[in-house]
Amino acid sequence: MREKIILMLVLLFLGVLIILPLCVVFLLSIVPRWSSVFPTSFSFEWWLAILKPKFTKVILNTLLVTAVSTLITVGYAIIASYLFAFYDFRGKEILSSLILSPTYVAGVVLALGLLTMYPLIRNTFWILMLGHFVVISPIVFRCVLSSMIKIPNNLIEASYSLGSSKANTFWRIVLPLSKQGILSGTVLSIGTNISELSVSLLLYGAGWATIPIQIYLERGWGILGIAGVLSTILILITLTTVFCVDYLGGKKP
Amino acid sequence: MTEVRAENLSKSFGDTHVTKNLNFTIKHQEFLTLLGASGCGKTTTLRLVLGSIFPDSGRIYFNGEDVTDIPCYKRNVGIVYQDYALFPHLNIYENIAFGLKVKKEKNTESKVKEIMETLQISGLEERYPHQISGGQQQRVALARTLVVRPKILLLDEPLSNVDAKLRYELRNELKKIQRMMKIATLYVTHDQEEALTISDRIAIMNNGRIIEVGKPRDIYFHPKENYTKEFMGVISKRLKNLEQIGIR
Repeated sequence: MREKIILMLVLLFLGVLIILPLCVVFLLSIVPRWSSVFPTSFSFEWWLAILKPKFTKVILNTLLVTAVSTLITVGYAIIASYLFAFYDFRGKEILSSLILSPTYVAGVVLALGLLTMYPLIRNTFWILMLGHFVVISPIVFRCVLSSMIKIPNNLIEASYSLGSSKANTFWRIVLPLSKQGILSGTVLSIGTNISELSVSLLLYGAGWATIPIQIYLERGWGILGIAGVLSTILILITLTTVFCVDYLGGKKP
Repeated sequence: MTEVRAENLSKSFGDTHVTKNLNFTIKHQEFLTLLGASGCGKTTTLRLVLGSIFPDSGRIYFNGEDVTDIPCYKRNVGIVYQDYALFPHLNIYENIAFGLKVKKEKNTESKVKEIMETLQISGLEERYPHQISGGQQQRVALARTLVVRPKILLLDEPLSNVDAKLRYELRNELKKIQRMMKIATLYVTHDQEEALTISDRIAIMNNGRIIEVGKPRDIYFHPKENYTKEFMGVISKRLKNLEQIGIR
């Protein structure tokens, strides 16, 4: 009985901290003017305002950055993990901590460095991509590596002994057996790419704002309605992709 | 029909010499056992023959042809591991057909069917490795390897994961299958009794060296080296009537 009460309290606490703010964000998007404690009227005027090219561009930017960055990041993570899991080379340990280090460094600091180092691609899509890649790839790498490292070496050797080349073994044995790690890496990548702010805020150029950046800007200008709509869209995109990827991964033999 | 000859094989990992100047021959259709305590370099020797690692010096010949630099996937050497190493994401049929499909061989289906009948595992096609027993897994592992007609069969302690009663049965069966397939076999074990009953010849290994090679009877009753005497002596205290266990 006591456990049940504690469990309820924990759930209530989580609800107040996580679920409720999300609901309020949605509420924000359908309240034209929120001046008193409780909203007085509802309308979809903010949702109509979002159809302006300025905002649709922001949404498209986000989807583009997320899609391209996820493709590159997951591809990189698979190749790097394969090398780390099945090959021994000098300086492996040091390289692994180097690869993982951006996780522990503040995004703004990295962004500042990238901005100074690559003046040629400043204000373009590519520096935004680069920033996202630098901060997100270590997380995805770790996720994929942890599943690849669990594949017993005997399986790989058995495959070779049956005449299967390295490439064929990679496609037929390594990839299928690390599917779970690759899928959760993809979910992580999509989730973090879509909501990345600390690096992109410094790196984004004119016309390349993403949803989180726009939310930040709107809040600065005090237009909470637009921020509410964008936040709701952000949540919806994230939930849909996570759900889709999880559904794909759920199909086990 | 393949004969394997290893000449002066040496391999070290870092500063440790795992095998030192190994010389041995596996004759046509012979069942040769590498017997030694754990860490004596017998598994490394096996992997050298398999081609998953390469020797620092020395050569390996299959029927006189130098295969030292040929990678594992071109050597056509079959292996069965202690944990069987079946592909967990493929069903039994796909596991056994794996090598045939890789080599794009014809009549995959009938060849798989035939080997499954030979090894008495028909009917398991649709199952997955985790759904069958240890004994069945071993047969599947054997079938997967033998169906591609390897030149040599390597067995890496394949009996150490099964219980004592089953081990005795599987041991006889392994020998029967090896005879039937007429395939040169290199068997790795640390179990003296197993080695004595299954092998045509035994190579005693210690500290990366082959101490002595001989027929089970000679190794047991007339060991030439002190180490062999010592190592085999462990079981003479345990087994009173050696004829009973079927020493070869």
